[in-house]
Amino acid sequence: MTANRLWRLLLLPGGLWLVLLFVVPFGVVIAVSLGTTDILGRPVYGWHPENYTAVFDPIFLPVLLRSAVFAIATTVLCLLIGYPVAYMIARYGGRYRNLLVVLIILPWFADYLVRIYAWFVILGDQGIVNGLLHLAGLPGTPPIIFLNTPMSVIGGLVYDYLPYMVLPIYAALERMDPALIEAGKDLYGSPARTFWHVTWPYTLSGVIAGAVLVGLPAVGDFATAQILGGPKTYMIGNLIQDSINTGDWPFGAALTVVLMAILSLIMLLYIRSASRQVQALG
Amino acid sequence: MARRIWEQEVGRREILRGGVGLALGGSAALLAACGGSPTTTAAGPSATPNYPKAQIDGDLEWFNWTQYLSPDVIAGFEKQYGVKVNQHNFDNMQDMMSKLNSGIAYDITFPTMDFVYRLVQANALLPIDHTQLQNWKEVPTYFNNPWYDPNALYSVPYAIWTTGICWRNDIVSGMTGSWNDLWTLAPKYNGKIFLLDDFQETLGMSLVRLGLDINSTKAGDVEYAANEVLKIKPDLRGFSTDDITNLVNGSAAIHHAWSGDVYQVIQQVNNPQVFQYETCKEGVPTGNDTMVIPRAAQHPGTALKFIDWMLAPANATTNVKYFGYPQVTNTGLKAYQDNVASQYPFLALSLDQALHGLREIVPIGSTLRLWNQEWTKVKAG
Amino acid sequence: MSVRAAPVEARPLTAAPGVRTGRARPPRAFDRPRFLKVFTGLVYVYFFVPILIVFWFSFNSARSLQVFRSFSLTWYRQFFHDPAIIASLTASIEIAFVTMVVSSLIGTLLAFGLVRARTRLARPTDVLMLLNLVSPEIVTAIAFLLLFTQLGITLSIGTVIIGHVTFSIAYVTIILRGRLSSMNREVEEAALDLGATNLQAIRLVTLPLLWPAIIASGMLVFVMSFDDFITTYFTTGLGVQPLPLRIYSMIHFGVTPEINAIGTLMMVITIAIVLAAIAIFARQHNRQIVTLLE
Repeated sequence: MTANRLWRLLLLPGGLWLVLLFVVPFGVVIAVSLGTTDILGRPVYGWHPENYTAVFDPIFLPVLLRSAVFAIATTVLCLLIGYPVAYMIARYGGRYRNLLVVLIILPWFADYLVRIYAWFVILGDQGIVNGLLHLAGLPGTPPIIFLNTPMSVIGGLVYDYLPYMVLPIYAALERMDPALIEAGKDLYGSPARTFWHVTWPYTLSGVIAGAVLVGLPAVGDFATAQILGGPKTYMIGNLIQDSINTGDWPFGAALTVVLMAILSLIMLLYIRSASRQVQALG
Repeated sequence: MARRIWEQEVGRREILRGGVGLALGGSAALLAACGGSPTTTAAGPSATPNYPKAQIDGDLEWFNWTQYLSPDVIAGFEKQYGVKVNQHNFDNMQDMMSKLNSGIAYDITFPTMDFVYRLVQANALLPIDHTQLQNWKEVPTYFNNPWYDPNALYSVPYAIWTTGICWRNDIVSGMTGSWNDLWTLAPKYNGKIFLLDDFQETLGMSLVRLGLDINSTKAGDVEYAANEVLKIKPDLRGFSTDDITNLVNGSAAIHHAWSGDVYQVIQQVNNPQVFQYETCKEGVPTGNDTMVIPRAAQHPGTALKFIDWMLAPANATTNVKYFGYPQVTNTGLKAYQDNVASQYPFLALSLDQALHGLREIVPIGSTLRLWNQEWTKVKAG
Repeated sequence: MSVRAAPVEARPLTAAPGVRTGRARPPRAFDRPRFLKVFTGLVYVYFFVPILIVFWFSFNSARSLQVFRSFSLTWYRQFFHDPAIIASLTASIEIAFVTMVVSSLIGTLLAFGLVRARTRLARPTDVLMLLNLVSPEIVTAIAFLLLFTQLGITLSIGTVIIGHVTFSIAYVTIILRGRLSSMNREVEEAALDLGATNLQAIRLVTLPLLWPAIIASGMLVFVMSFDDFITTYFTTGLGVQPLPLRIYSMIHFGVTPEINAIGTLMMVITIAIVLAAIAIFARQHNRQIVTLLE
């Protein structure tokens, strides 16, 4: 069989799975968004496009924008923090590489909620950080309010999504021939320029992967904002979640459909430009 | 050259993808529409109700909040009757209803009163014959005919609670037993106040404070109530249902809270004496939940036996000591008085109080849309 | 004389400090690992401080996250005496494992297809996968429930796995795709020139190179599945319920040391499994090297 036929065949299992178990359920979501609910809260399918007019209320626009800003901030921070860590493990990890990678993932086994609530102990008004500050000689000043602020939400998001940035970059870096860097140093002289001209382009695909794995889910995230957030951190995920929780499923579904439509448009643009970039990189 | 091919192909692919997507989505929608409702509920109450017999007919599939019923009581039941209690948990009522509606064969579950009301209306429960329950006499007479379940055909009450305000008397002064305190004290205790992240509780409370109906269906009223909440929103620390955690870790000096949660707070802090709880003069939202047997239950006999077990005086006492709520049986209420209310008088909750409280009814249909819109505006604004 | 006049062949192993010879190895400070080390160390601290809190408070005799009353093992005792919790933990591990295997398989195939296939179907599949990543979990979870119910499929461990695999595929695909597209195909092409079929080339050349990335994404998927609440809740039927469902419901009554004990145990058990896996894997690897050398 020709190479291309093989590759096309390999698309089949994944593609089929996504179609059956993503597109079809999404069809259900669309159906719910156009319906109503009965007394038990079950969806009653029908034709109620007016559910969508409720979505386009101007008061929700800041929520959408805020979600985008938080997602971008989280992605950038994850990159700034995650890249050096991945670099460190890949280049200087040596024998302990595998262990270090596992250690990144390890906290996740303590369950998301458990970890998040631990931050309450650390960042709470009477928590550890404030306690230390108090001891350090600032008695009488009111405690610094960490929790229920945008800061705590972004901090929580970064905390949660960091491995999604570290692992792809590590995967890209770990096979990198150190000789390339040596050669680069000879060629470019300074470490900064070596990095920019050699290491960075090599790992770009890993960085993009990480950015996608962090940025996209972060937009729809709600749990962090719900637990660590406050009145000024309401995200689109929270909006959808709240609608589901009040029982107004059609509205929540309509919001989701609109959100996905907007994101697909953005994604199409991204994919077009990314394909050009990949072509350029060769 | 390659670039142009990509662009062309993307154009065609978009249409192809869109078409495929629409086709699939449309067929899914059709499937959904033609599928019919999953739960088997007959239209209207059945003529001859098939009352389950109180006998052990298999292990119990139980569906409840975690830690909401004493493990010792459960273990006692398992030992007494030689069956297993398989525990399944939910973490909010809507999610509970979703699973229930999908027809999963839970044998017993614990909906709150407004959800029982809907389940009764939709004929989604198995009827309960009180003569089969040896301990039915433990249940206070009001609950022989509660508002949500005429003649108590389908439910047995479990626990009651009120919604009020919990505060710390070492930080806060000026509480007057009124919902309006939240508004008057907001500027002073800026950043230390939480309201409940529950649209019925918070919008309802705002309506009550304005002297309006807690279950108002009037757009003008609900909007007014929402705007009132928006007025103090800048001073709030947040909306949260984690009242226990917020009070324990010091984020909250004043918290819109549930009575049962206040008890948990007191158990968890070093300085329980600073915590106070008040119910408000404009109106006290009161709730209770119930034990019911869903229609899809495969072991309704065991479920009945379990309900009977819960009503037994000894078990009610053990249970109350475990979870700190007044269980709605004569013995349970007394146990609550003796163990909880005697120590913390502000947590006293008599049946009389409970019966004269305000009840929140979950809106449906266009009212739900109204409430959801106003609520999301409060959250987003 | 002046070092600059030194002949090119005489390359000292370490140059005199501050001296730039033509092709000499630059001073060690050039690599600056110290800053990186400190930074990385801090990041690990950031990761693990909450874990330490969890660990510490799991031994709290009082039911509180605020005050540490005294050291106690009650919660651990409770855990080990509760067969339901242990069953839940086992179920979560099983589900996570199967999810990891299935989604790694499908994701790897998909990555190959997306990177190498020249076909009209690649783009829409790509978009679908990315959309899957963005969609709010609560909505897709409820959609699953509704779909399974409509089709008359009873909820079970199987449906949970289906749900988990669905959201996991994208993660595997994206990580592998990055790795695959930046991979040098020369070795693979050399294998093809030597007479290997495409499949053989993949199996003998590409896959071993891809292996660390597959493991990395597999671990990520395992953890996501293990930790997941929403999709799990809406796809679990009767039978054992995975651990996160219990924990989420428990939080309702405040974060108790019991929850912290469960969290700590979950981690400890995982460390044990992973260390065992590394040990076995390392031993196999060494054996392979030994056989290669013979």
